[in-house]
Amino acid sequence: MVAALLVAPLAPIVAGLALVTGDRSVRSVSRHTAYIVSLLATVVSLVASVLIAKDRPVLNRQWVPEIGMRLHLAVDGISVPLLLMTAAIGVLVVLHARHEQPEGGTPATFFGCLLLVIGGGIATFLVQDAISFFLAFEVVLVPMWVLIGRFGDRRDARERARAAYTFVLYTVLGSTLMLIGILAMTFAAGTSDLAGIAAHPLPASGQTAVALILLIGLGIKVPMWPLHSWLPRAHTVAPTAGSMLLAAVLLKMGTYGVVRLVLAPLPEGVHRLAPYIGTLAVIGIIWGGLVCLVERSLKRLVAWSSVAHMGFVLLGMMSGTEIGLQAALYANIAHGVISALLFAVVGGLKHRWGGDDLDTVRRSLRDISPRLSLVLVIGFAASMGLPGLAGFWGEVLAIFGAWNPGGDLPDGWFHVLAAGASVGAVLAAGYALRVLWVVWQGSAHGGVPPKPEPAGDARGNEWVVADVLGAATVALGVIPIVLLHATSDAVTHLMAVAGR
Amino acid sequence: MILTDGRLDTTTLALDLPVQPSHLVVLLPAAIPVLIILLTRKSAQAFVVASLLSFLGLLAPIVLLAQQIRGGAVAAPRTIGDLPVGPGFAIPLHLQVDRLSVLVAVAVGLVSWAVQIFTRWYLYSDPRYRQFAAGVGLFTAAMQLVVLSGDMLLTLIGWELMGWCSYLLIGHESERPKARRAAYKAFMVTRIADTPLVIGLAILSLGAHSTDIDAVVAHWTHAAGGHHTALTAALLCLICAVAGKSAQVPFQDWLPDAMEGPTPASALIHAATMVAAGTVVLGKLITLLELSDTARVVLAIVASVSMVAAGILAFLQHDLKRLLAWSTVSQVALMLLGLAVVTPPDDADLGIAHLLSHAMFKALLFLMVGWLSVLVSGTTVERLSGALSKHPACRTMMGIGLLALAGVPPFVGFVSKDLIVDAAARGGIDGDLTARIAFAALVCVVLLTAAYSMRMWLILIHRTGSQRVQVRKAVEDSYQVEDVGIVEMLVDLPQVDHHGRPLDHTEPLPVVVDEDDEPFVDQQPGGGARLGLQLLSLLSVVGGALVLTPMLDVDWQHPNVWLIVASLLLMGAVALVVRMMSVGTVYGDAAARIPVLVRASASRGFDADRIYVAVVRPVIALAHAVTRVEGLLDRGVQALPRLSAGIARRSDRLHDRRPTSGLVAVSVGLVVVGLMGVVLW
Amino acid sequence: MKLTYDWWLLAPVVIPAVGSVLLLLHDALLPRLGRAHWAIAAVLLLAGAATVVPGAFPSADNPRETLCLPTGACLYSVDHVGVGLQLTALVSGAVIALLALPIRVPAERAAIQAVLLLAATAGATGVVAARDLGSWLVMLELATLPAVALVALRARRAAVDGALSMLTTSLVSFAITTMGAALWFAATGSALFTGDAVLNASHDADSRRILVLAVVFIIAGLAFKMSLAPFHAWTPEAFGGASVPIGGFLAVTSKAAALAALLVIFRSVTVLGTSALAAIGVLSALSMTLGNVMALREQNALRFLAWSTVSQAGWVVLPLATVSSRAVRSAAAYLVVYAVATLVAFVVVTALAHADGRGHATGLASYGGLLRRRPLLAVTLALALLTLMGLPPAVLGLVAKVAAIGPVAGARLWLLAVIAAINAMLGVAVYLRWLRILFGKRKDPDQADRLHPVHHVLVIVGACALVVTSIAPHSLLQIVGR
Repeated sequence: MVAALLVAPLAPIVAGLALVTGDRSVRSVSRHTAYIVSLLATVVSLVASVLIAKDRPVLNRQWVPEIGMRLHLAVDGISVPLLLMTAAIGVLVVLHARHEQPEGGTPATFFGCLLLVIGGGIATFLVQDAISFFLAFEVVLVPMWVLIGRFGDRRDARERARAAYTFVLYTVLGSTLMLIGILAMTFAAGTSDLAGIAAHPLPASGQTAVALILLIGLGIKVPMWPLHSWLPRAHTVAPTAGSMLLAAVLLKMGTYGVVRLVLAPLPEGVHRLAPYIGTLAVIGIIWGGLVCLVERSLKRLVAWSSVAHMGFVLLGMMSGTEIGLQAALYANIAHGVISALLFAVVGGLKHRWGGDDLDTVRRSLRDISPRLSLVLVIGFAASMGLPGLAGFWGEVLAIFGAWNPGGDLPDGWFHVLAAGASVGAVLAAGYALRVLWVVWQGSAHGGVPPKPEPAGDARGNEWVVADVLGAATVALGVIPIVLLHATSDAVTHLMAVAGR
Repeated sequence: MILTDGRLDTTTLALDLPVQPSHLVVLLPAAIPVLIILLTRKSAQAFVVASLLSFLGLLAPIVLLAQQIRGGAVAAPRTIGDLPVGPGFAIPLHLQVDRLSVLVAVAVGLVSWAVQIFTRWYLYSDPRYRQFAAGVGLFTAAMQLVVLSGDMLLTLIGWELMGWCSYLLIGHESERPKARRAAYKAFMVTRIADTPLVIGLAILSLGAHSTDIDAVVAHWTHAAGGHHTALTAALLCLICAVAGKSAQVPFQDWLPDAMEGPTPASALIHAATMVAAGTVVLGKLITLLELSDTARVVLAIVASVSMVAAGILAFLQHDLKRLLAWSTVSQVALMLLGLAVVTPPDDADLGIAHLLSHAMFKALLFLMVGWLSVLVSGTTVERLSGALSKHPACRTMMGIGLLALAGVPPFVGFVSKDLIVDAAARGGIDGDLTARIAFAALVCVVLLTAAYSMRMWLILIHRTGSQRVQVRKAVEDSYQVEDVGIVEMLVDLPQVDHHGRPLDHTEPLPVVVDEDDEPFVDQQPGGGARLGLQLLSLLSVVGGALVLTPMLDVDWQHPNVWLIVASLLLMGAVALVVRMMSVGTVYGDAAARIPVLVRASASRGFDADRIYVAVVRPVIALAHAVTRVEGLLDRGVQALPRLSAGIARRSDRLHDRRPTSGLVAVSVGLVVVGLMGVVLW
Repeated sequence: MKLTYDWWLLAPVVIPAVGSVLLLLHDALLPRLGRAHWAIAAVLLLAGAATVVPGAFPSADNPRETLCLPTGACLYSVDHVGVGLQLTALVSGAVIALLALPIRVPAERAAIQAVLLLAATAGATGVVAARDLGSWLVMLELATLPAVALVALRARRAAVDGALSMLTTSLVSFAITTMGAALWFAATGSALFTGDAVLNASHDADSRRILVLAVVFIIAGLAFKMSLAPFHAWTPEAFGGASVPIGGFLAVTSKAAALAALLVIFRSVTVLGTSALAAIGVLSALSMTLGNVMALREQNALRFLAWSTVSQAGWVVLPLATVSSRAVRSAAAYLVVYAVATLVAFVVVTALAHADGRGHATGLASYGGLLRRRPLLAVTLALALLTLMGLPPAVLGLVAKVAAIGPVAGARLWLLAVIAAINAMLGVAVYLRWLRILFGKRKDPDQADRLHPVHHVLVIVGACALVVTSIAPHSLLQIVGR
């Protein structure tokens, strides 16, 4: 079983490296081979992840003693859902990449980079050692840079390069700040083991500075409000598969990092910063919603909606209550699924339309391609937090959590924050329906509805991917109980540790 | 099989199974959209699924009713189980089966069944019939969930889902811009009104450390003394949301526009589901409502204003479907008053009773108007004038519906309305402010209702109008909806009518000659649909008898006879006046005596829409501002590379490749370092 | 007076030193086979390295000492870190020699170059172990001046310019260092770098002030050799002018020597507390930033590497801004990693310069599409760059980054730490620029030969070294102890 711990992250990473480097030999790898290899790798790692989730093995051995970095792999209730989601999304992304292969480089490089990102994500959720967490955090950067910079939107090369650089530099800055925080804690605790760090916290006085640095660093990845400006750019340019990974996996690393590195080991620091971070989160929610109301590029709009949704996650975490944290973890997963779905659909539409400008007059999607329109409706309904779909629970519980925050956090202010968050939910409805109005219902003036065009509709892998994600969205919305049970014990334990 | 297992207790009808009838009440309608989407490809298949399941969905509440009567119903059936969100807070998510909720459930099931059957005929050739049927199913399920919910969150779920379904159904004919806008408007207005709902629920349930409605009620009834303001605030939040869903002032204007949806949708929304939900939810929390006088007064004022205003608007509408819409607003306000006037320890029976009766006759009326509109291809006065005299088949049921609406004894409308009037009167005599407000408004509205019912009847039976004058081209239903959408506002379009002309409010209603429309004459819905209509009309006649049963506990023994007589006399007088006004008008339309300017503005709901737009405009402006700021932020980030390049260029100038500059740098560095050494000492 | 001798321990210094003399004789006797000198030099250096390795890494607490006076004070002592640095210097010297082997130069110049290389390396290994002012200064200059000559010996205009600016700067900084040494002697009254002498001095306020001034001066003098800003001005000139392998020598071997020299001082003044070392923090921040910013717009590959050494020097001394034995090891660890990566980069550049012509290997633009043209070189170079920017898959570089920031973060020097973070970002931008060119549009040279076998082997070895050390960084970092 311990083998699974190594297989899960290494299968994609090794396969990815093999593809990227093998592609450089005399003749480049054929697209079909690349696809098969990637599919195998991701499926294997998915299976491994399931095994890991089933009987929780632990691997803990020395790796680089000079910097106290250990190879400590294990999972708990908080990481299991993220692990499984990442592995599953990995498979879907590969399937989708088969359907839509952007120009700009060889297929092998494309698939290889996808695999590296997936592997990095899986590793991030497996490691239990702060420094190797940083390592796993960094693994995704270069491949993602290649994905955006080489395989991004073909129309504007300069914009492509700029988006790629903005992404990689922002994120490196963030993760290095995170590293500083980690090392400060490691130095104080004498161990880099996450549990160890949480067990020997810094003195309350020193916690604020460290928590601040960590939150800024991770806030870039999440992204937290004023540090978000890399996200819309990157999403707008990135290829569909890249956007799916970016939204579903990379952003989650940030929030996961907040839970592991900030909430658990630095309770006092968090407590002192919570009102400010919460405020930023709510500003992000409203800010994102407002921008979406008038945004013209569909893909950009979805990216902005992610900024808003991650705001809910942060708010839940900052509420310092168990219900808030549960909500945050739920919203985390939900956003992963929903945004992956939306980017899959929207990317497909952009592909078909040759652009994603909402002001262009188009015929109603609901008539000409029923399948796409079905998933589109599900996606946007979920992203506006409609009950019965994934988005609902996280948002409403986060508001509940924020309404009376834990500890002696300022009640009045958090009431304001909760109210702000629910206003943000209304904005979400506003822009979601706006998109449906323009895209789903079309801009026809009377007359009979147009006939379906099966040729233009989702087919093959794309349809499979959209279906699975849509089904997951509904399932998460109808039976939240499973996921909440998965996380609840770990959350209770974490609150107990942080509450000491 | 179940019987043999002895799972069924024959005396109490109690079922010893994991799945209770109460579950089925929600699940069966919910299964309709799922099965339609997964299994069916053709309208016919969809109809089979829809009719079958909606019929079962009617049976389930009836069984539940039987159980309830025999006392075998499970009071609080579990659903998906308790959500684990920490020790301090319980989210049981269970249903709640009691007298009133069961009754409402039956009514909802009945209406939605009738609607499903009727829809098949009404949308026979519509390529989107499947989506519509699915929407109706989901809508019903959501309403049943609200009705049977025993948990704040379940209520919220059903509540929001209904908003969504109304969006889907109203926007059904989305190739028409007006339908798109009406759908958007309906959802957004209700959604905005719902903003405080979450907060309200949060206050209530966090106070009680549980979202279980009974627990919440219990906690606050005890704690009310201490946290009275909190309770009032929470209730006001709820009332705001209720006003939104039930289209009360100031959120009233979405409902008439919702007429853009196909008539069956209107029947569903108005009769049984969406607008009635507010009554149901407040009915569940009636005990808390009785605790807070502030909340009651606010509710009474909101309801009274909406009731009267809607009555007036109804009388002035040029489109009879919109007339019915406004009448719904006023009738729902009546239900809410029924809740506002009750005092401890009474339960919500008054409001619920009117909800039930209204469900019957309003569904009947809408379906009938739908039928007629198919026959004469339109719902404006010009179209419908004399419709009944041309198609006598509809005459009886239409008459029954209108009589029930007007509240003529012994029809169901009379019974439920009179009970509320009585209660208000009694309360007013006891000096209860709420009751006095309510009573004043009720007196007006009794007359107004009589007036517009009479007006509609006169128009429908008008003999000569249809022969004498006809409209040449089909006048689109309710064409006064402004074509200004939240989105189009970005490119600030002028408001236009269906001719594309800018709206001129003083423009007279188009009146032109044209040959009559034979092909429609002998169209009529299939047997099932007619059966449904007859059932509804029967209930509208005899439904009042329900108050005699123990299911509703209301005080029907001592009616205030003088009050009844007086009101009947007044109603008669008003009817007479209306008749007089209608004499000699082109279409037998009493309202024709009113200046056209007033009528035009009334048909636009006194331009409430413009106020909404005016509210939204600043938000959009803010959004644009935010986007600009965002652009600046982004430009700032993107400027950093140029900044570093600038620094590099500048320092590159210092690095001219001469040894001197190197030495200068060295000496400077030396001085700096030396100074640091000295200073830091 | 009598000294104790432990030749085995002295071998790393003696072998190259003696070897250089032998080479001179050999060249005087049979000047014909000039090219062989490089091979001989490489062999000697590797031999020296071999004598270090079985020295089985003494632990830092009880360094192995020799040349001990009857008083008990020893003039020569190596501890674990010292061993690591000696090994780095020797191996890098050997690699440089092998790199230089195929390059065609007039026979009379080849010999002298090899001799100078040996001498400089001897100086580098010596300064690690020197424990008294005299030998410390001598060894330092022995490591410096031959390097100047090596630069000059390419005998081109650019080379001479570079050598000139290097020479002038080195003379000034030598003066400064000597000044510092003199002050040191004045303050402590002892010619030995021993903790207790400093301790005595630090009790008295005046001598303490003088001592700090001494330390500061010495740091300033060494900053030249580390090419820390603002003492870096010579670096781009020298790198741009010298022949490619010599650039590598300046970047790696002499940097190791400089760090070693600095560590000797550092160890003995730790008793003074941080204040004396605040200067190091400033210098490090300054040169990180300057180096990165300048590299961002540099178009010449060699000058680019020069700027990158400037910024990397900042990273090397970053830990020394805090006073702890951990800081010493961190600095050494970072230096070792930096040495490997930079060396590999220089190997690739040299190989390319030799195959495609120097003109084609110096322009960054001409690396366009190298990934298609020479996959091996490109992948190796990419690995080296990734290591320098400290991003996976080059785990080694990331580990080095962690090691360098560790002490600073541990000591909560937030400002310095944040500056370091920003420079990590800038560094990524810098090296990604080159990486992007490798991936980018193909650009063929007018004439392209096959790689020289020696270079080919070195490239492969370098690539393997980076891969292995990335999988198991421990294997490399252990040479400086934990």
